[in-house]
Amino acid sequence: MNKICISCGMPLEQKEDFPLQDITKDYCVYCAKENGELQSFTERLDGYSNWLVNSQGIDKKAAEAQAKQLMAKIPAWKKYFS
Amino acid sequence: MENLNKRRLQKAATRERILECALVLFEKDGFSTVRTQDIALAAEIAHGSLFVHFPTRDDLIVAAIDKFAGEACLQTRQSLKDTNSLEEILKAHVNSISKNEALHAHLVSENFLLPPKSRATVLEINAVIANQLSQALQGKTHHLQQKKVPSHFIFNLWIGLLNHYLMNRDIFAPNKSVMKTRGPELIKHFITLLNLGEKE
Repeated sequence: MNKICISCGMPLEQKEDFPLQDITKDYCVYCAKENGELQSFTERLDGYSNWLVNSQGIDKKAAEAQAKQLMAKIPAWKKYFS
Repeated sequence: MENLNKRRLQKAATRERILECALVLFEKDGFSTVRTQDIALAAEIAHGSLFVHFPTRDDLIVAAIDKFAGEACLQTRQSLKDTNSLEEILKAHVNSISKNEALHAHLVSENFLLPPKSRATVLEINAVIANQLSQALQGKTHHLQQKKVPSHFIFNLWIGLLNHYLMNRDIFAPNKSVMKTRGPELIKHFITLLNLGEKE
């Protein structure tokens, strides 16, 4: 498998990486809701920001600004940025 | 159609060449001082042609750092595929930096001057390692968790230590790779410090 999550860039190598183990999806299990659908922009932004806060202890608002910078480069979220 | 494909491939190859030349120059002189004229010269293209691929200087820096970070992350991910060992994670991190200490040092010293997208990329690379570190520390009932020392503090301590040696590599390991020379002792002593206070 040579896929990359269109939402966060994570390599999708095993079926456990896919939501509901559905290898036809283009995004990873961490970017998906419980029902297997891709999270909304707001949900993903929140997820990304929390990940940055929890991993490095940075300020939440600063993390949100950084998360937006990352998401602006990603196929699934580019369209939300001018 | 064949000509169109040929042009597309040529454009992609030129773009790649520009990025490779840019990274060589960034490694030598940092991100702030290298001029687009110098990159164009190294890539053997007209200065104006460079902006066909990268409309602004910042776009070029962002793409170059993305390329560098992407390759480094992939290699680290491969080397940590089947392990959750703290020691292996720290070794992989040190090894990754050792592959291009100069460029890593510039990313640290010029962090504030980088385009916002690149600052975020550096933060993201760190978050990936911090996450792995956190999982390794949770793998066992760690006394630091019991003492409520958050894993992000432990990661920041580690990255602070590495960055200090990286920024002063000329005095910690003159004319050598500071990560290869001093890396093993940094890992060993850091783990010893983490284990201080752990009941036998």
